[in-house]
Amino acid sequence: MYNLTFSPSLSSSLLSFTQQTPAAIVSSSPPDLVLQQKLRFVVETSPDRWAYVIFWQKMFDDQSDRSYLVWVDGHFCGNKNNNSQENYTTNSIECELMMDGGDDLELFYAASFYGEDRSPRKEVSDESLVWLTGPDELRFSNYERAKEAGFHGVHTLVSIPINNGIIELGSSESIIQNRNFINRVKSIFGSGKTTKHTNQTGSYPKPAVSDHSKSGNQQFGSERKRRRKLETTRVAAATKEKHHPAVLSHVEAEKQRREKLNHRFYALRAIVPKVSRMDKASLLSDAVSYIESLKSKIDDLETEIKKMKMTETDKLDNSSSNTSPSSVEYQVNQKPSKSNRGSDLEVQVKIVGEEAIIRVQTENVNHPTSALMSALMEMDCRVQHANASRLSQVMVQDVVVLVPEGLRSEDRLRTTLVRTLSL
Amino acid sequence: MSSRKSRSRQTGASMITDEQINDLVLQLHRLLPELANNRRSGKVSASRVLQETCSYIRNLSKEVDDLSERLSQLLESTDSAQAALIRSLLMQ
Repeated sequence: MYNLTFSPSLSSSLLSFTQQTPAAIVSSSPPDLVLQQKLRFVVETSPDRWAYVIFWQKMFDDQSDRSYLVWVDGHFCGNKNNNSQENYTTNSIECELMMDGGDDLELFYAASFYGEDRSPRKEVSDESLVWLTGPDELRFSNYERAKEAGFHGVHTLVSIPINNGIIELGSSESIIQNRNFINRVKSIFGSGKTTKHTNQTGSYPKPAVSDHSKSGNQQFGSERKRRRKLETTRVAAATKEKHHPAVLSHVEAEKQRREKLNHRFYALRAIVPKVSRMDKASLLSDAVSYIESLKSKIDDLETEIKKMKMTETDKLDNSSSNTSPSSVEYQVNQKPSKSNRGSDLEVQVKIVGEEAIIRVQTENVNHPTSALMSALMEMDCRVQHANASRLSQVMVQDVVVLVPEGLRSEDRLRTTLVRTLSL
Repeated sequence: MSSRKSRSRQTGASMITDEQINDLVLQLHRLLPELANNRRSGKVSASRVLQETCSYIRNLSKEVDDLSERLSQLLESTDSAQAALIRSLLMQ
């Protein structure tokens, strides 16, 4: 077994790494970014579909006098299952494993990243190229990592030695060895010392494999970025939508407030009868004065109603305190009626021949029409025509009567009628 | 500059008008018995004052009509002495 004696230092390897940067890649980028760009470049520009690419840096252990590889950087491109996988399965268990190839391969890649930091990996031949195609080659290979990869759905495993390490690529498809691809990887990352290209063969014969050349590898990172951008755009749009209705609702609220206030003013205008001017200030002033006038009216009316009620109460008291009903009643009946009718009774008489036209104007109390007819009956005046009409609280009666011979004088007739009505 | 000046003018004019309207609204506020209770709770909006003013005026008008009706009924039912007394009062 060939034992590696070359032990490059970390700084010298980084320095050489920087010197060998191709002109196509921006040289001002930091070393890590340059490495990442190189790894992506290798995978994205390849016509084959690679699932992942890893850069293992070669380290030298002084104590054990052996070299080991350390995971430095990698890029996972994703995986898509193809029907061709079924061609290499012999039983159902393997079929199930293949169906989960994508997830399994991703786990394999992640395990490589999160493995033990300083776990050494024995290499069968450190300086030789390894290109294993087909699950059988991986499973029965002496290369430990190839075996492990085979169990995780890797159908093609490539290990390309470069200046300070190894570039490893894996795919779920079976890819035939491509010398141009190997040369391109070496030119990008720097070739190793030896240029041996030994193709390991397993104990079984190599199966016939079709080459699936598909372009357009999709990256998880770019997809995530796109999704983030879309989400950001949606969030921004949502924010704008939220803000815009808020502004509209504010303006709308102000409009509604003004309309409501104007409606109130119109209603007030309709109720207040007097209008001095048309502006709002005058409207309010008119409303104030109208309210005050209404209050004054109410006070006056309430006062008069109280007076009337008190008068009625006094009358009741007088009637309840009667001791000699005939004399007291006579006095009550006499005095008010005399003074009342004397002051309010108006009698006008006009005699034409044997007939007389009498107009009597009294208050509409105690049935004035019956009183007049009774008086005329006592005076033996026969009624020819009579008309009675009430004007608010006043009763006006016009009567045409035949006058007896004893009363055919206007003064005499009026005096008699007044006396009779007063009784 | 011109726009600012015009804005300030508009603001001044609206302020004068608003001051007048506010004074008148305060007068109405004092006249309304219902809103007097709300003074304790805080300020009342102009729209509310106007609405209460309309309701109050309607109530006062209805009260005046009711009192007039009652007075008429009392006048009809009373005798001539009281009628004369009421008539003299009304004439005054």
